[in-house]
Amino acid sequence: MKIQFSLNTQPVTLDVDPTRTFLDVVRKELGLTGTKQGCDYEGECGACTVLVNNQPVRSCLTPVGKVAGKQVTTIEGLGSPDNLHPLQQSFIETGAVQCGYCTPGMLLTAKALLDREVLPEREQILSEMAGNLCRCTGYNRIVEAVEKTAQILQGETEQRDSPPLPGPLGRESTRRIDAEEKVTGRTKFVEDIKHPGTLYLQVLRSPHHYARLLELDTGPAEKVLGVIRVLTASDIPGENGLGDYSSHEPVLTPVGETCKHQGAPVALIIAADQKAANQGTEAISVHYQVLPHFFQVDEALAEDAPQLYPNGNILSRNTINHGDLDLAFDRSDVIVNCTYQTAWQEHSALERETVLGYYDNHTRLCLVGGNHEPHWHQGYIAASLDLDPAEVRVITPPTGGSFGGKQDPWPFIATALAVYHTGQPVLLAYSRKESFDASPKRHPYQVTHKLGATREGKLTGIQVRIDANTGGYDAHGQYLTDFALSGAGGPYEYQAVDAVARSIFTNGPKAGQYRGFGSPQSSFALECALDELAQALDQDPVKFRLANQLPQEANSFLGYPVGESLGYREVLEEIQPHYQSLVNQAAEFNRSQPADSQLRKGVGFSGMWYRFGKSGSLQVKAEMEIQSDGKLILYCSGPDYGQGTSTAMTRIAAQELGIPPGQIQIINADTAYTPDSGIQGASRTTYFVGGAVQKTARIMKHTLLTTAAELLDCPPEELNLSENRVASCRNDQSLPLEEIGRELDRLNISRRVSGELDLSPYFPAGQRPQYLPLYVTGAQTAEVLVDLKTGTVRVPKITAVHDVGHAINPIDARGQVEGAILMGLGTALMEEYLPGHTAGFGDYYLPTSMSAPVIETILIEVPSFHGPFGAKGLGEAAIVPTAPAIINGISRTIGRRIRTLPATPERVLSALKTGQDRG
Amino acid sequence: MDTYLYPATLQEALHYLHTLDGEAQILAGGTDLIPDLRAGKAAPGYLVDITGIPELTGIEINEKHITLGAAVPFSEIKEHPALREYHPALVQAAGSIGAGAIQRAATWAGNIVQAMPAADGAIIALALEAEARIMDQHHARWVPVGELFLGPGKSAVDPTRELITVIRFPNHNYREGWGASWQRVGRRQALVLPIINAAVKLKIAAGEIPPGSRRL
Repeated sequence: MKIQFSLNTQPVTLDVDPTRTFLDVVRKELGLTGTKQGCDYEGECGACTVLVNNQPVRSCLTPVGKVAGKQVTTIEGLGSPDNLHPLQQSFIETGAVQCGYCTPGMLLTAKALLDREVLPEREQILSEMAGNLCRCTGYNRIVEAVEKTAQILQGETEQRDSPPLPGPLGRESTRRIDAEEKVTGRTKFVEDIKHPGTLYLQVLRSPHHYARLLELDTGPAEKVLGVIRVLTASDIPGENGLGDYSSHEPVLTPVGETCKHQGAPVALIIAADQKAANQGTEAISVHYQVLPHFFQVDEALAEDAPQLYPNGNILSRNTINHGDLDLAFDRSDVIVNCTYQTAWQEHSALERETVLGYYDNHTRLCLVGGNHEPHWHQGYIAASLDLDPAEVRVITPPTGGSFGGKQDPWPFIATALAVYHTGQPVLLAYSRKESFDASPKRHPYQVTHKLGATREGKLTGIQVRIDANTGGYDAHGQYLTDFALSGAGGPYEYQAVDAVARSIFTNGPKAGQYRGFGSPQSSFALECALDELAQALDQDPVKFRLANQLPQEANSFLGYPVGESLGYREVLEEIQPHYQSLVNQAAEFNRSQPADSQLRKGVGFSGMWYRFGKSGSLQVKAEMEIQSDGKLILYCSGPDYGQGTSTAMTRIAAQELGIPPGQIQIINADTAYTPDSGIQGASRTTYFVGGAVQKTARIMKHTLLTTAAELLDCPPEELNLSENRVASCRNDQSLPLEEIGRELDRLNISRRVSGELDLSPYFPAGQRPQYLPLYVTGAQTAEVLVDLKTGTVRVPKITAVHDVGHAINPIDARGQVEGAILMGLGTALMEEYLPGHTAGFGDYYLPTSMSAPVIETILIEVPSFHGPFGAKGLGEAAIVPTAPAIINGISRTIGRRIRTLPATPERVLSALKTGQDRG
Repeated sequence: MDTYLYPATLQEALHYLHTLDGEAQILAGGTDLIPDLRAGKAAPGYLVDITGIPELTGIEINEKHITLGAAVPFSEIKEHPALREYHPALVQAAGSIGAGAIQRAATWAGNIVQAMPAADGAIIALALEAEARIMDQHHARWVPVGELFLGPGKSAVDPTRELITVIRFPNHNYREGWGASWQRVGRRQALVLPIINAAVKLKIAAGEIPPGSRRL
């Protein structure tokens, strides 16, 4: 049927099915891909927001028939890079853009608000944005951007064309190099890339929590019109596995074997369109023998439990033992013994797992998708397809968030297999439900601490038992125990330690990497147990930690000293007055309430350390090239999934060279061009890859200056780089960079240089632990407001103090902290994945803008020994103290301990009524 | 005949329902129906979009009743000055539904016909003693909203054959001693299904609640 409307002020006439959603029509028929799909067209995320007659609507719930005769505005109509709308400008300047996937919807919602309200209040902005989920920013910068724009539109503030930006540390920040593209909806995420003839890949997944695959007949599916191929385990030419990512996990379950969690993949259906793929999936004849399943670690350890693997249900075990624990407890005046339980969590990046695969004209198999380790993926894919790694290329596109979720190589291997067998481009795009079913989750922990202290407040002994639920498959769960232990003792001194961590198989979802891999859960338990101890001793929780903090040179509870500057004393001293002031305010609030008030305020505190860096290589490389036209290109592998690594790497190089970051182009995480830096996880990128980039830029500078010195006939020490020239500081002689590029060609010297960060001299083999003892510290204090009648909790304010060593781009460092805090708030209050129940954003609650506290971020800089400009890892660390600070706050406010996450209204009420939080 | 119909009058809409004899379905905001279409839970041959019918898009207030057209979105309830002044419980309930962009499309009548147990619109309708006017080509009747629920997801209104045209409720307000309240608890503050929602309307006269003047 013919439908006419105005789109971004241009008349449009379309002949389409009027019941199709506007979202589909604008993306697929009109080719405008700035409007995003994040929640399976359920209206739950807001990424698809467009304006109809200037009102924001969900385009995924709007049949195109509804826009007939109306004026529609999409992000493409708001402004262009040459002519940004003031809101777009403000989003860039305030750091409101991270991964950029929610940004178009946010901007349009904000635009409609500002058209209606001249100077909206903060509460009004929060309420208006509540329908637009953001997983990266913590919403505070978005609110700030809207407030700022309102003032600009009122003529109260002038918009600057370019920074210096104000902000954290008073240091100038760099605009995100990709921010303009993101605010204008031009960024091409994987699903936005058009490749002619692309086939759709759909996955047949086991609907059972535990079942044996008895029969699989793909014949009926292959007869469905539009289905091209159906692949099963027997179509995998190489290894049917995920390499060292997940030691027991098949790519596809072979007939006769068991599927160990709901969503385990069985077959791949490749079809010409989505509909045929759906029909093909349904047509497959598949029979399972359903087996009894269990989700909890206690059940897995029961004597009569079904054994999921020949070696049993315990995947790995790790221990620390030193000192005389009995003696330590004998010397204690107070001992607390408490068990804390955490929940499964889903990363919920707004962009679902999506991979595009195709053969390029070198007959190389190319895979485009968000990832953490392009070179490792390349290896896994090659092993499964029995190819040489050089025949596979992994490209990292702009990525709409990961938080660890996109570390799983499975979507890459599956897509590669489909391209390999069909020879055609193939797109695999998880639905949101599939992302909930099949992507790795945060491991739930059961942690029991026994902690002793003397009356004076000195810690004595620590005994800790951790059982981590790794679900049906490994997904690095075997390494988890080491991370679990690292968090369980924290940056504190003990006389004796007895710690055991186990990683245990269940039929729960496969658990894997999730912001802070393995340590936030045990840190949570520790920081809550310390709070219980401080309360039992009637001591100030900050001073209690200060009195027990690990001295820089001492042996840590792990049994060896740390390898980086700790900064914990500085952190605690900085936060102490903030904590005290919030405590006083809360007491004042409670005094001012009537006696029968159902609202009560309280304050919680948590410290932490976080081990960054992971187990990757101690030697990391980067490269830099000066092109013959004088342009500088940086090559490195530090995938940017929204946290801003591309900007940070560019800034490090620029800072070292002494030129503006805009002079440098970056090619990041593409196996065809960039060196292998191993995995980028555990907040490793800034420190390791950034260190390599700094070394590389230093070499490039040397090359440029010595070459220019020859040409200008003066000593290199007298030369400096500025903009795109080398200039003498003595006289007005200078050379454009392109001349240096040409000179290198003339001299037959490579225009490409390579630099390496090598930490092995500082951590000699044989003396270093498996994971380098690189720790970063921080602390947070949370103000909580508890409704004693309903059990609901609000968090009005969080103050966060983090030692970042050196903030490469202060605005982005703050962005990481604020985003992590909101994610931690979700952990504390609302996020809980229940296998067999949770299906998507409709029943897995992410914090919205209405949940966002006012966040005060204080970055302190105790320089690292080895990082670039003294920087340390940060992105994950900031999530660690949030949940314990909030839970400690609730527990102190209600006078009962909450020991199960999340603290839902039911659990808080139950704790209030019975003292037990299992509601 | 087009499959997406834009009646300009109520008569035209009723005529479509009548002549298409169960093949057509009423569409207002579409926030529930469109996902149902995608999921294959509904497959009407024709959609009758009632949001362009002037008779169904007004809010009328007289001494006895407040009367709202079936195509009035929740956002208009939320922003209506007189409703904000005299019927804040309804305004709060309207503001609890989904988020701003949902409230701009979704309607009270749609919420009631959808008949979900947790529906905020339904609970407040019960407390306010709301009635719905239900029409087809030949009949019209007033039915208390409470009688329209036949079970979770089941409504006495068949949107393929009839429609709610307006919803009205008694104009009981604080000037006569009436008050109504809306309360809701969820796991987060917005965009969330309630754990529990409750509405009450009662009258206080001479310090007491007279018999028969309370609805929970």
